[in-house]
Order: sequence, then structure tokens, then C-alpha cells
Amino acid sequence: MTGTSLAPVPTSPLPVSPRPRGAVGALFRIEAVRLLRHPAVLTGLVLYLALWAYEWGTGALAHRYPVLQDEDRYSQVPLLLIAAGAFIGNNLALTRAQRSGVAAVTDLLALAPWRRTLAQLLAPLPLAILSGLLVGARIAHLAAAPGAVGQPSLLELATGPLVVLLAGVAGVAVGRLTSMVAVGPLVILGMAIFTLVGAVTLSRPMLKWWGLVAIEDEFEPPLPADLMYRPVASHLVYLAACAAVCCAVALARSRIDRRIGVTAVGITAVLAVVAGAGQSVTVPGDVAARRTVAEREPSAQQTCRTVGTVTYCAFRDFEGRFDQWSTLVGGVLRHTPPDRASDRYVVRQRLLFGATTSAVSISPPLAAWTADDARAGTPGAVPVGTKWGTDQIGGDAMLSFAGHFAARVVTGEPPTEASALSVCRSRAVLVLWLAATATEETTAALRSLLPRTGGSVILPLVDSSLALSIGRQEVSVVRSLLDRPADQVGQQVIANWAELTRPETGTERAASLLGTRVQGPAAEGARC
Amino acid sequence: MLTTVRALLPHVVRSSRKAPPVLCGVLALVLAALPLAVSYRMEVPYAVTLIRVVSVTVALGVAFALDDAADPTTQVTPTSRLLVRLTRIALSALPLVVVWLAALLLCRAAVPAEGRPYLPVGGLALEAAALLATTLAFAAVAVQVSAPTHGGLAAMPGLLLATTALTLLPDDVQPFAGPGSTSWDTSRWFWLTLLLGAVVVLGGLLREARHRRWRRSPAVAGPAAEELPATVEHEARSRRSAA
Amino acid sequence: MSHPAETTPGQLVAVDGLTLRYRRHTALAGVSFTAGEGVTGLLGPNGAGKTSLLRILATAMPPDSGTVRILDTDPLTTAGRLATRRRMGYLPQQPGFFPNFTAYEFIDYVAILKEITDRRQRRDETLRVLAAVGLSDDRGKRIKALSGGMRQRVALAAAIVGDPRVLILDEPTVGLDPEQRLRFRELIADLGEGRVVLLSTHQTEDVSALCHRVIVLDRGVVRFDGPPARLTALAENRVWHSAERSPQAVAAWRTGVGTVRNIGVPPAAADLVPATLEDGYLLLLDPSAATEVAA
Repeated sequence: MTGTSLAPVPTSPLPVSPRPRGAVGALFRIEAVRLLRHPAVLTGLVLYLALWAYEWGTGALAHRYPVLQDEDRYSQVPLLLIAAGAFIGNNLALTRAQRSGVAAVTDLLALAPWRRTLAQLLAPLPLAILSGLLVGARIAHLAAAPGAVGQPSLLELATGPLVVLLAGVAGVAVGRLTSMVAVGPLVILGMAIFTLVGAVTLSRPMLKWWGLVAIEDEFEPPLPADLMYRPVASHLVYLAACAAVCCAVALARSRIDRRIGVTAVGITAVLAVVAGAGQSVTVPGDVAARRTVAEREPSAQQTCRTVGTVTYCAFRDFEGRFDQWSTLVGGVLRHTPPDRASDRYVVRQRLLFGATTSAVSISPPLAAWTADDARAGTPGAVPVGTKWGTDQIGGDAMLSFAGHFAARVVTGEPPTEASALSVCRSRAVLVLWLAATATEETTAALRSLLPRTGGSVILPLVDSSLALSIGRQEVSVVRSLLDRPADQVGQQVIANWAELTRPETGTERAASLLGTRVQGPAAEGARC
Repeated sequence: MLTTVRALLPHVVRSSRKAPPVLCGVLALVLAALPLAVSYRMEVPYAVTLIRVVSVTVALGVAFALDDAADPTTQVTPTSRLLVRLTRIALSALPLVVVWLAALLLCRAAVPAEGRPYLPVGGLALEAAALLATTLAFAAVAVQVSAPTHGGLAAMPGLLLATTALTLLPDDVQPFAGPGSTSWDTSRWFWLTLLLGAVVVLGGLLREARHRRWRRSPAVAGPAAEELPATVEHEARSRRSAA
Repeated sequence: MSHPAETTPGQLVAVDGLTLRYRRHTALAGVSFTAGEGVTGLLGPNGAGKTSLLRILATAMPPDSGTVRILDTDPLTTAGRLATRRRMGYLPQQPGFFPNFTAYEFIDYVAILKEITDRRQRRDETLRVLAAVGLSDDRGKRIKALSGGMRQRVALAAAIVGDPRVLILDEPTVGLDPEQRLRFRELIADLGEGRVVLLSTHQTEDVSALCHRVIVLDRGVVRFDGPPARLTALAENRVWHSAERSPQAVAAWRTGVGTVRNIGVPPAAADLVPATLEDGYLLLLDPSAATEVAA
């Protein structure tokens, strides 16, 4: 700095003419980059990617069997991290001038305050686009996972990025309303509580769609896309209307004409309320009708494929499950005598609506199913649900299906109350062992189930009240069998098949036939 | 030391930001009182969720505890900085701890009597303490690396983002485990570790900003020291003679 | 240069071989000097390392290497740091305040932190320092209502609470109007009597008006250490007024009266004029001038 010759200050070669629109554009670019580099946004992005990486790193993705028409909406909640970052970053950007003590300078700038607000309102756009790219990458990643089925909805995928945009403009609105930095995080907390309330009051879902993202009951089974009902399009309109309210509030507080400001806020607020009310929570009649048909007479909506001696029928969107089913069925049949293994079997996918919304499970419409199967020429089909995976819910569903298929093989009867009740003692041991050794995943599912049940095992048929109930004594036998090589036990199973499958063979006898011993007494009050 | 603290108290009270803790405290109490206000008989899992929301709200209230606008002026006074900062923390945290306890009682009162024994108060208190300490640790880090008045500015969003990220973890490692779930016990270890970690970070940072470097041996000379000799008199002399 | 700094009588502050590096930037590259009673000015361009040096002396930060002795204690040890802080006042470059405090309350707060816990004693001391900086009448005003110059006085008052033997003032006159600056210089000159005052500035007028000694710091190195007059002497016979700018001048600028002040090489038809401290300073810091001088 010193020592150099102090040359006269050159005058600007360009004549400066006021171009407010260009200034808004330039300011927008600066603020957008600043927002992308804001610590809160970066933290949100890092956490988002870290959660993704964690899932990837633990190998959970390989056994997730994603259903893409559900994964599309699951993409929304993690994006709330980036949305929170956008809110905070944009909110703090407004109070930046004040905090750094340059407000006195910036307040006198020629560019109208509302234009500066406008630039700030636009700033989250690139971040929203980035979020869209992340969501796209995420769904592509899931679609590439082995066993992925279904199709994502573009509207559901667009919700998350729109929430990021909304959060960004909401940050501006809050920043224009108050310069207290503590208010912003509290508003985020409020929004989080609102979303949480929506998620925990699923039985009375009035509030569900008024929040940022509508969370569904995770215990509900996945549905084919044409049987789903989520007013996503109306929700996007509602979110856009909310963003418009925020923009109106922010601009109204930027020293524009008071009447214009108040009118804009009023109109957009009415729009938002109308759009919010337009998100009907009741399932429309045509969807409800389709669901009834799908529940009672699914065969018309399904496609079937025969692999070996087994025919599999699935709803549209779920044809990808054939491979997993056939692997599991093959695993069950591996340890059965050749005559049983070469029998004809049918596996049909089933849906039960409202099976878990009330605490009491409902009984399956067996008569309707039997009639439907007869019409379709697939008598005695073993039902399988739409849940599938290695998490708790999916694992239980896999094990249940394996159990019911094994029961079908062992009893020779399709699942009914009577056939379920006949799975007792030796049969129960055999069914559970066949189910548990069908695949590595069912073995893991049984191991994960046992600590939660206190020793006995109940395998419901597609979440219905019809279930295989296996007592503690039988489970303990299976447990000890699982410690031995499956092929070794399998040979004993095939050799003693006739006696093991006889209803009157006792648990102790089964244990000794399979080379182990019964531990503990029989459960009291057991059904067998 | 006690006389110093006693003399400091009114100044610390006056110089602390009151709006954030008051807002958070009131919000926490309102949230906790809602079920009672609408006579809603709350099941234990809902009560646990509500207490967790209250814990986060209360923790947000201490975010500004370490903000000290006068720090540049007072940083080299003989009174220990740890003492001043602990006084600040105590003043803003103690009322909020009382708020948390009151909120806990309010939530508990909304749970039917037969469910109350199943409310895991100890485990929830651990979560609350860990969240509080984490907020303070965030604030301490921000005060250290950014500016003495930027603690709350960073700690509030920091806690919110961290909490949101935690809730998104998969079930088997979910820190906000359901009461009585299989992962409850392991999740307590997470909170204990978080609490201890936050306390260690706090202890390290509260003592004195850039304190770590005091431990470095002054005998270690930088390379530049040898390359650039101080040429004071010599240079001045040569200049004079040349002139 | 590697021997430890020691204070001999008259040398109340001694530093030797101080180095400090930030990540990519060397702030101090082996700084050594001593200072006694009176006002010692630290002059240098932005980024010369003045603030880093003063922060080290004020015990706000340790150096990477080197030794410091202040009033016969080593502030780089924990015990020495406390002892130093008890006898030292520090005015940082950007002082912080509680804006809703009155000047009196703020100084009272500082006095508590300076271990004056007795209430009456503290009141007397607070009133004394406020009077010393000329804020007696405004002591009831909130700091946020005070002007920049008055805030700077509050910060100075905070530094002199407890009558410290050593005062470290980082750019105390920055942002002050000429009248305030004059008042501040008087104050600092008074404080220099019987105390060690180390002040940094980039105002050469401050140095000529206040300091009995000046240290020029540039890029982490001491470039000059001596009385202000000697710094001025560096430019003697090398300052010229002319109608035109000299292309070879170390520094040249058009003055208010319309002539060009050239330092270093004169242009044609130039008049020799008396040098100021600023001229000496500019000449000292010019790299081309240094080689030229050496040649």
C-alpha cells in the first residue's frame, strides 16, 4: 500500500444509469450464492447426505425392497433439514445489515427496499432446484436398488423442493416482521411441532395436510399407485399459496404502498385458506370402490407368472416381487420331500384395508377370496401382503408369508381358521423351522421378532386376525435347530416328514426326531 | 469468588438477553399445559413425545447464555472467564430447568394415573440435560470461532438441525426411542455420551478463548524467526548514511 | 536474539523473538523490543502485525514462540498471566459494550472483573476513571446513546480502571473527530507519566504529538525503533514540492495548495521542503527506496 505512487482516482468509464431490474437480478445472484454457502444450509445439506450415506454404508439399501410410490413421499421429510437451513439462512440474511452495523448505509441505498426483498425472496430458488436434484438422485438410487418396485409420483417428488422454497421465503417474511434473531428458530420449532402433531394424530387426520408435509401411517401396507389417495396436487397448490402469503407479507413490510400491501396479504391469505381446505382427507368414492374390489376380488387387477410349479400373482406395480417370493418359496420347498415340492402352489398378493387402523385386527374375507380364486382358476392360493423388507415391519411380513406358505405345504390345505389351528406341536415346529430357514432374511426376521414377543410367535395372515400361533415350547425347539446347519436338519425333516406333519405328533417327539430336546414347559392356555 | 459472583449478578442479569429464554420458557409451559387445558387423557408414548418437544424448546432457551457483547473489552481482566461464563449459564439455565420440571409435572398430570409409573422420567431428564448441554456447547463453539455475540445465532439453528437429523435416524439407532422399546436402553447410552461430550467441549472452550495455544511451548520457534532478522538499528543507520 | 527477554530498570516491557503465524499468513516474524515509562507508538500499515503484537502483550493470545516479560513477570505462564492482568489495562481495537448499560454501570462491571469487589471502593474508582476521561456528566447515559468518540472514552475508562502500570491501547484515536483526537492525545500523554503506554496507530500525527519513541512494524518485522525525530530525519532533504509528479518518486500526491509533494527522487524544477514524520515513514516502508538507499 505504501511506497507506491498515489495515482489520481480514475473516473468510471461507463455512464451509470439506474437499472433497478438488473440490480434485483444481480442482488438475487449474490444472495442465492450466499444462501447456498450459508452455514445453516451447508449443515442441513451435510446432515441430509450423512443420513443417506449412513443408510448406504450400513447396507440397509440392499435389503430395503423400496416401493417407489411410497419412497417418493419419504423423500420429503429428510428435505426438511435443508428447508430449515433455507429458512435460517434467508432469515439471518435480512438481519445481517443490522447485525454488522451497516444498516445505516444500506437503508439509504437507491434500490427500493421492496426490490431488495424481492431479490431475497428469489434467493432460495437455486437451493430448491438443488434439492430437486438431490430428490431425483435419491429416487434414482432407490429405483436402482435390487427389488425396487412401483413408480414414483412426480408431484410427491416436487413437494420437498417446494417446501425448501417455502421455508426460504418464510424466512424472509419472518425477518421482515421482526429483527429478533431468536424468533426464526422458534418459528421452525413451531412448524416442526405442527408437522409432528399431524403425524401423531393420524386417526383424526384433519391437520395432516395443513402442515408442510403429510406423513402417512408407516404401519399401513404399501398400495398399488392407482389405489392410493393423497391430495398431492392440492397440497402443492396450498404450499404455493403459503409461499405467496409469505412473499406478500415480506413485500408489504418493505415500505411499499400500505393499501397494496394489505390487499396482497389479504388476497393470498384467503387463497391459502381455500387451497388448504381443498385438500380433502376423505377417500373419493371411485378410489374406495376400486379398493373394495382389490380387497375382495383382486384377480382381475393382477398379473400372474408361473415359476416351476408355483404360480405367483401380483398387483400392478408389484410384479418385481415375483423374484423375492420365488426365492423364499424355493427356500421353504428345499427341505420338503420331492412329492410335496413338486405339487402345484399358488401365491396371490392380497390387500386388507383398515387392517391395523383400529387396535383390533379384522378377519380376512376368506369366502370372497375362495370364490375369486375359483374364478381365476387358482384354488388354494397362499396370500402374501405388500409389505416386504428387512426392517421390523417388512421382516415380520416376510416371516409370516413364509410361515403360511410352509403351513400350506405341511397341512396340504389353504389358509383357513381350521388349517391355522391345526398347525400345532410337531407341525408348528416344522412350519416355523421351514419358514425361518427359507432365506437368510427370514432367519434374521425370526431372531429380531423373538425379543419382542417373549418367546412365542404369532404369524398373522396379511395383518389379519387369522394367524399361526406357535407356542414357546415349539419356538424353543426351532431356536435350537437354527444353531445347526440347515441342510443337516433338512435331511432329518425329509426323512421323518410323514411323522412330523401328522397333527397328533407331539413337540417332544418332533424334537427327538430332529435330534434335539424340548426346553421348558408347554405354554399354559395354548390353543393346541 | 463468591463476592465477585454476588457483585456480578445484577450486571449479568441486566446484560443477558431475556427474550429468548422467556419466549422458550413460556412456549414450553404452554405446550405442556395443552393436554390438561383440553382435558385430554394422554397415553404414555404421547406424553414422552410432548416432553421431548418441551426439552428441545427449553434447550433453545439457553442458546444465548454465552453471548457477551462486552467480551472484547473485558477479556483480559484478572477474574476468571470461566467464572463469568458459568454465572451467565447458571442464570439462564436454572430458571429453564425449573420450567422443564414444571412442564414435566404438567405432562405427567395429563397421563392417566395408571400410566404414570411407566413414564421414564429419568431417561427423559437425561435427554433434556444432554440437549441443554449440546446447545451450550454449540454456543461455546460459535463464540469461540465466530464472534462473542454469535453464540445464540448459531446454537439455536444448530440444535434444531441436529435434533431433526437425529429423529431421521433409522429405528435401530434412533436416539428418541419409544419408552419400553428394545432400543430404549442403548439410546440412553447415546444421550449419556452426548451429555458427557458436550460437557467436555464446554469445559474446554469456556475457560478462555484461544486458551489451547497457551500450552504450546514458547521454545518452538517458527521458521520465519530466523529468516527475517530484526534490522532495526542497522537498517536505520544504513539509511541515514545513504541519505 | 535467542536470549530471553529481561527487564532492566527502565525497561518495564521486553519482548524477544516473538513469532506468530496464522494459517497462511505470518503475522509476527521475530519481533524484539523493550519499552519503558512513557508513550511508545507502534506504527505500521494495515496487516503489519500491530494488533497481534498488542494482543500478545495484553495476554489475550499467546505467541507461537518468543519470550515476553512485563513488569518482571512472564505473562506466558498461567500465574504470570494473572499477575500481568492485575497490573495492565487494555483497550482493544474493537471494544465491546453492553449497549443497554449506562457508562457508569459498564465501568462498574469492568471494575468487578478487575477484582474491586468492595462496593464503596468500586464506586470511587468508577467515578475517578469516568472523570479522568471526561465522562462525569454523561455517566448516566446509556452506551447505545453515546457517540463513537464517547464510546471510545468509555473503553479507555475501562482500560484504566484499577490504575494499571501498563496500558496497551490498540488504535485508540481511530474514528475520532479532530477535537476528540486532541482531547484523547492529552489524556494519553497524561497517562504516559509514570506508566508504560504502548499504543498502535496508523496516524503519524498521533506519533509525533504523543510518543517519545516509535516502533515501525511492517509485515511482522520491526523496521524502525527510535525517537520520532529520527524517523523524520530519514526523509530530510528528500521531500520536494513541484508542479509535476516525479515518475521515480517513492510517493507523490497533489496537496491542497495545488503543488505535488514528491518523496524520494525529485522531478525537474522542484523545491526542497522540510520533512515530516509521515515522509520518513513512507520512505521507510517503500521497498524500492530500501534498495535504493542500500545501494
